[in-house]
Amino acid sequence: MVENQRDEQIEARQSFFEKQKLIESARISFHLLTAVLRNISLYPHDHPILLTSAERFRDKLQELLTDRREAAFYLVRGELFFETIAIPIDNSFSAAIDLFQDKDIGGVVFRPNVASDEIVRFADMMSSDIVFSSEQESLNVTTAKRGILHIVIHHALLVDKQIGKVIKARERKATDIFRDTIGALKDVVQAVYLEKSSSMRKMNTVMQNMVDYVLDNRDALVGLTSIKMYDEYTFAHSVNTAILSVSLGTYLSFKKPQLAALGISALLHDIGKVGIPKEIINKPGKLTEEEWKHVRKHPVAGAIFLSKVPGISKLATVVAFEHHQHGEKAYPVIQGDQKRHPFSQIISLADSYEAITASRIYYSSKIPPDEAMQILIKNRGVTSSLVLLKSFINMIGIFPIGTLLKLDTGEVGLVMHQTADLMRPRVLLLTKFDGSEKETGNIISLVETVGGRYKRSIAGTINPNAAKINVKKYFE
Amino acid sequence: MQKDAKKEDLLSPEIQEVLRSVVLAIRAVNLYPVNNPSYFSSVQRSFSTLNNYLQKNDEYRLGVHKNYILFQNIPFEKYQDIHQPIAQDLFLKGIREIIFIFGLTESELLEFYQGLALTAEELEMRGGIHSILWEKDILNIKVTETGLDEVVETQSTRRWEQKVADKNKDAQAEDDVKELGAPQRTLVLFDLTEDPFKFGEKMLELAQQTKTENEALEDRLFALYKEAGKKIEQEQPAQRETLYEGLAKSVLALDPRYRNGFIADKLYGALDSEIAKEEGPLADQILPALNQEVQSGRFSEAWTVQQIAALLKKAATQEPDAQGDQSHFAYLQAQPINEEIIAFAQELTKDSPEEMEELKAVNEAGTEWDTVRAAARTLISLMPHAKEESQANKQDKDATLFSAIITQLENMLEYLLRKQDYNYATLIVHALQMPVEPAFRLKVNDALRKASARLVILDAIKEIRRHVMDSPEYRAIFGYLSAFEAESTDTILNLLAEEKERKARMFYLGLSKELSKNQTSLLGRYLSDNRWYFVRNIVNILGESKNDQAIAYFRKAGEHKDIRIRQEVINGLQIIGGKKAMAYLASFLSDEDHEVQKSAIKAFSRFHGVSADDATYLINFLDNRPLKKKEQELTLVAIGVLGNIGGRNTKEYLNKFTKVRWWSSKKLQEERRAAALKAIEEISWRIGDGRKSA
Repeated sequence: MVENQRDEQIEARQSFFEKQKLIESARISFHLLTAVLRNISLYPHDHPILLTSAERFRDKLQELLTDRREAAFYLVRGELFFETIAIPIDNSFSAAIDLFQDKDIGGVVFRPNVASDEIVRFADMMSSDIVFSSEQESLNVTTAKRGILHIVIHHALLVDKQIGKVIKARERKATDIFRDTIGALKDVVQAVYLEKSSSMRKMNTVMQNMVDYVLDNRDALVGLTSIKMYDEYTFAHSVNTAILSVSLGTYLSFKKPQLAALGISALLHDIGKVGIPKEIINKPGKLTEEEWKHVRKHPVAGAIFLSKVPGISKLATVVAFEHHQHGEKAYPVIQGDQKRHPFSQIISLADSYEAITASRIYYSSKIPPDEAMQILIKNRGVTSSLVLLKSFINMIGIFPIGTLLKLDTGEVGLVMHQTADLMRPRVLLLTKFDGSEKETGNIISLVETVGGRYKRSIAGTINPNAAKINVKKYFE
Repeated sequence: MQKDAKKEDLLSPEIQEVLRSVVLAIRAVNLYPVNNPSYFSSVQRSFSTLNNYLQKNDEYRLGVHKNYILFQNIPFEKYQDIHQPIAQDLFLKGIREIIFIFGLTESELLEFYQGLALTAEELEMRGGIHSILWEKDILNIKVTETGLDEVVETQSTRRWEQKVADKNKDAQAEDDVKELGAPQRTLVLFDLTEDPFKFGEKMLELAQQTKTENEALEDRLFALYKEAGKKIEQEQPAQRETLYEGLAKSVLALDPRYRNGFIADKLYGALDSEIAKEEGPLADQILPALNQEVQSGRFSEAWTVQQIAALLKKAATQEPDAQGDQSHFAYLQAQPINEEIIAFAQELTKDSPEEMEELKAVNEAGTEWDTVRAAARTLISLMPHAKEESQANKQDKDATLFSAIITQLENMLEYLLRKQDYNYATLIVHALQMPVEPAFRLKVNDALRKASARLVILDAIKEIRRHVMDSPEYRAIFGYLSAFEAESTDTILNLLAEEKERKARMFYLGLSKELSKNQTSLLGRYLSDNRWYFVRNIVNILGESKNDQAIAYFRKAGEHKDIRIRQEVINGLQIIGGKKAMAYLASFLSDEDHEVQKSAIKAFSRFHGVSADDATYLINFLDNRPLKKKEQELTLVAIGVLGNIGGRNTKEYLNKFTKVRWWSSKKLQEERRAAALKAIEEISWRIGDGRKSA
């Protein structure tokens, strides 16, 4: 093997590994900060236990600061972030999170050369009765007066406002991307029908936009996948599969070219179905075995078609060919023991999830999200490897975006974002059920605590179809 | 609204008064307890006004819109604050029209109002207001509930209705209705045959008019079409096919904004739902469910009239949705969270070291080298399918489909060789070497020719020298070279011939021995080379091949003037073994060169698979040996070799050398005797009769 191949492999492996390492480092750092905040109320300022805990926190911070100018922790609606990465919260954090929330602090930024005595002074300030101003300048003066020069605090309002703005702008763009992608796919399908060559440039551009967007804000696009556009279902299915696949790709720390290839492959995985005779695909009844044979040809037809198309990732051919290579009824039959490509597994998983959630709305026999998850879990190792399934569920959540929840407070919430805690997503509280809450409603995080206890927890799921709530209104 | 209010004024004060009294009575019975004076007084008042009206008219017909009450299609919007909640409540309960008929009694009216005061759930449980009226034998009040009974009627019904209308209604009011543009509540199935497009438009308009707040337009449209289908089934079985065809055409003529969703979601949705039910809950356990493949494959919007007609027929036989138009508040029941899910959620956050490794490996997916490898594998798997496709498609005379795949494989092969990924390159080569039909052979052979070009092989040989023998890299390149045995052998032999450095020569020799096991004829061609050392190497390789086909080529080499080559042939023969090799080896016993003879004799003892019978060749050789000093060396060697290979017969034969004759040289005889005794002893020991000979 040549050296550059090795480099590529190592780089790809490192990318994932480094992200996991960073999350773990940030989690431990915050854990140590929590210890300092606890110790300040238990021991005098010169007590060795307090000083040791401050030093340990400082040492861990140094690790984070080796390749960055600052280490920033943010608290947004009860969720903890290190820079833009969500950090899993455990119960030991709740006291610190409560303290930050009581003081209306939304962010703490540590800069290089922060000393342990400065950390002690910061902890002392946090434990005092001081009321922080919402003005950044005033906050800076407050900290400077106490000799805290390498730690900057941000008011919660400011952090929420800034992040809120970004989220809104992104949500508007998400719909455009969704529709652009459907448009591009339609063009390709049309070209196939007419046996014309189709330029993949547009498709690639659209996919690049999608990748950029998912990298920026996965949840907004994943939210759109919960909308099942039946008038465009076939196209929407492929676009949804692409969004879910790219999202899982970002979760797995794929690089941009990998994500684009994954997205294109997902978008075109069913392109072979264009070749199924219309009288079969639109047959107003059950298909015969002979007709099923035609349907089962679509992986081969798709792969043959894509193999001739210049300008798109060759993995599109691979995925089109392999996306039904799972389970006992795999097709087409391939000689020898061939291991499915990870992209094929990811796309099969996304395809299946999309199909289950579609059928949830499509059929009178509704499948709630937790049951959908059970189906996926039951099929573990078939559609994809277990480890990919775990990643997928970690990414999409136990209660995927668009799930309607009954909370233990009696409130009804619509899942809008995932948090690091799979059982505690961020939800939009519904009161009118007419879509108006999208603009005026309150998004809360189920991670939020008060007095060391969660403010709200999930009591159960509500079937939106049975409740006649049009979830689509909240994502359009 | 202003315009409507004016039209409303066209209604006589009496009609307006009846309507107001009915609405107030419905409200009072709904709101007040029985002992409240308003309860009965309002009922009495409404009965009084209605009765007066019915003395002059056959019926009093009220329509229910979701926001107001209508009288003969004229919205009545006065007293909106009172009428609207009543209209909404009635609409929610599925009531679309109320007809009070001459003969109405006060008790009938009271029971009717009491029925209306039931909650939506209670009404549903009791089968709707229609069932209550029927149970209580209320004959003079007719209610049309949600569905299409009130809007799709047959031609005969309409004629009857028109007659009644002609008799009772003011002609001017009729014209006003048309002017108003208020929706026609009555659609006639026979319009379908005349103008299905218009029918579709009307259906859409009607759906928009009658849909509830939480109802999607497509749902309402679906309900209307289902009812239309039911009417056809029940009342027009003879015209069934024609009417369904018209119905299908009207669907296809709908505004595309609603048509596509209606067809894809509702009509096909109902079909898919039915299939899913037939398949049972297990269908969801196969991911994705088989039927989903069809649903997600409906790229085409090219629905035919026949397909839509078939779907409409199917839908007409389906049971209506039990949920009705109820508010979502009634269904905010939560399903508790499965305990297993909670447990699994905790598991999800932990990854074992093996899983972490697997995830890291997944991270390599989609990189350039991974893409080429995966694509190569897929194209190889696609080859038989492309062949089939090319053969099935008569237009594809030039097998372009298959050729396109081969071209891509060629490109990938080039890439892989450039990247020195010999494992996957070999995979492609092996795929190309599979038997193909004559139509494809030219293309495949061309690809193989490029893959086995001298420069490519030279690169591979150069690369293989860099790796330790039997290392994975060595094996990968060796695999590639083996795929092109002839070409590789040829190139290596040429390198071998020209290489000056001994170490390199040894490497090439070793490699060629491994590679050229099946290349006897190719090797044979090199035996005419004029470089003795090159020919010797070829002979050596032929011998190492252990292939008895090499013997034929040895015969040529055996005549070589250089004794080193003849000796190498002997060496090769002893390795190959067998009768043919033995016979040829024996011929070297009479070689003109003493050294060659000696090599041949010695070769007997090392000969692969030698038997005691083969000793005959040496016995014959010894028989003719004169007892001379210059012949003595080969004689002694041959006796020694007989000791190694001979049996009982040989032992007996050797006895002749144990006797010393007086007339010949004693010294030479003594030497032969000693050698023979040693050989006999060795044979005895070997065949197990040592005691006897002793």
